[in-house]
Amino acid sequence: MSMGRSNDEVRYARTAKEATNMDSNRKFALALDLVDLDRQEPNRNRRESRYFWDELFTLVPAAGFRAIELPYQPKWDFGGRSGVPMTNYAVTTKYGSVAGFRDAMKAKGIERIATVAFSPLLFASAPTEVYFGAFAHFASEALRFAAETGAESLVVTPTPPVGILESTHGEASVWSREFLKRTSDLLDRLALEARTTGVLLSLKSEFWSLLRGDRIDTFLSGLDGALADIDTAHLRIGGLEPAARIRSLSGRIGSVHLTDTAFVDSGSAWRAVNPEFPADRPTQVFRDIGLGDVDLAGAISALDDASYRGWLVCSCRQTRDIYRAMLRARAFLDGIAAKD
Amino acid sequence: MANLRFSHMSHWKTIPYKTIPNFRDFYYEDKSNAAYYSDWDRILRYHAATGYEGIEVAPWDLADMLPLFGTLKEFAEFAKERGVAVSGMFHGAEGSHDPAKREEVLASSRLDVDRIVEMGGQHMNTCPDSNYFGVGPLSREQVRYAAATLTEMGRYAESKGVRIGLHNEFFCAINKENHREFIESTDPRYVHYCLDTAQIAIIGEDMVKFYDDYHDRICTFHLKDTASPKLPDSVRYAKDVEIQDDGTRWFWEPGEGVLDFKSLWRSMKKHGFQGWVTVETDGTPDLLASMALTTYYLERELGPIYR
Repeated sequence: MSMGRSNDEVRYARTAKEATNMDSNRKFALALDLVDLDRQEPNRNRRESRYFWDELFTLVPAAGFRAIELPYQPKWDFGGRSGVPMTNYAVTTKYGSVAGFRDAMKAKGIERIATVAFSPLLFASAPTEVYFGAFAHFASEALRFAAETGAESLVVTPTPPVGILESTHGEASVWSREFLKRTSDLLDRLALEARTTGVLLSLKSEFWSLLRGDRIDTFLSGLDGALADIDTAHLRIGGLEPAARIRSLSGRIGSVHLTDTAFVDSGSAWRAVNPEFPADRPTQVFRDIGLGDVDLAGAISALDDASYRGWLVCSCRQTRDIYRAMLRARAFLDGIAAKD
Repeated sequence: MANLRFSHMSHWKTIPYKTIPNFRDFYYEDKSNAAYYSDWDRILRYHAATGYEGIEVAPWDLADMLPLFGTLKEFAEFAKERGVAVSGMFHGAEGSHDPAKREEVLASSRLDVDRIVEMGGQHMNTCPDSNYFGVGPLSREQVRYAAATLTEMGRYAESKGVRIGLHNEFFCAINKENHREFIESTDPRYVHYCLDTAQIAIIGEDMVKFYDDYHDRICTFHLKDTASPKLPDSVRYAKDVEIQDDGTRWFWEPGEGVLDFKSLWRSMKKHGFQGWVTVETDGTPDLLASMALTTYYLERELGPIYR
């Protein structure tokens, strides 16, 4: 390991003190996007109950993670179902307040909500005015939620998949310039709001996005106060090696997602309506950490070299098995630590 | 020819693929059962294999179905090739008691009727109003306004060959104290009833008596069991009550709860019911097992009474 820490130090960093120990160079969190309520199992009713999440919050620390990323999903504000603690409404309904939710998680051994993630995907097919209105409203709500939970950063997906947008608006070349301008204006306002809360605003570059790969750099340069997210699998599928990308950003990194893949987009999967599920050849695009072929160790080393001090969020967003995914991520991190 | 045709309510959530042509390779990626419930091809084959001639879809499924099939007609044809018809679609008439929402409610209803027509369906099973919490109790005027809205919805549906079947959720603003008044305030020429056996029982009605009383209005069923009939008002009217914190299930497969389906079947025989019966197993952790379990019950326990 380039920073010269001992194995004991690294192992220590995943125990109780890990979540708040700012002396540790690496801080690992687990993204709760590993619970996919739409596709992971037939029917999701039991996972809409609080008991499911309360047990999950007990098992996350058992897998060695004491910090999480919470996906902020406005979907759970609608339909009279508040058991999925992924919005302010759901959390306050079930835990009384955001503070109550934070306390409940602490009692289970989760010390921190490290990051909050927000994507406007839910509104992608809506008319333009509805899309931008909902994006602004819920991104701001997610930011306030992040601040109240003490999260370090809000990770925002700046555009839904190109394919979904094209299915609604037509060929991207016709509308993308104006769309990105409005997105930039919206995120500029969000960045301003973020500065008042102390939450870092970080933008995610997904391989299916209008801002895929390093296209996000120009976009970011026009924003004051937003940094880049590193998502290793997205970068890899988009044709960029994560370690090289990390070096090229020269410290302008706001958040990191360790994700794995073996998927190669040999055609135009990135432009499909549902790029996470390639129609011509179904495959698990995002593998559990350690089961793909992304050089995650190289990415972590590059982050060390860049003196990155933020959270490294382990994401297994397409896992077939929530609990195996947590343990696979832990096994992978232990393997990295053993080699350091 | 059978009097009863069985359909199954889609609670599969998002099905990401139309077909999985590389089924074996897809399986080997993680050797999980994901390959078995990720495409419509196999989901529909499960329907046919377990005795369901129909599928009832939900409007919240459509955004994910359309990119896969292009049009709803294509979906219906794809299903038909696998021996499954679209029996209808669920619909929610949220805010039907509110004059300010009338046009929105009617427009949404017309849109869904047109979608059902495109799929060749017959039924639009409709929750008549918003959830009770935050809305109820409704005044008599509001109940009558909601009934008039549903009648207007039904007039359009009937003109398109679709039957609106009132589908009362046990947590709906239309509830025990105004349920029958509401039904009787709608125009029977345009508004019919989808008897959800468990929901009715949880509200506090006797399922069999209700069927006997309203058999001439009942055009279809949502068939499911419950182990908790006659829930108190304090539970039914609570916030976000449909999904319980401790995982308590309101709904079970027919035969796994306490409802008297054999008496219902005898009554259906007496009144000569003919048409779609949609089995609904929301709450199950295993839809395919629930489908098979229910078919066994329908065939072996109820079939000898009426089929």
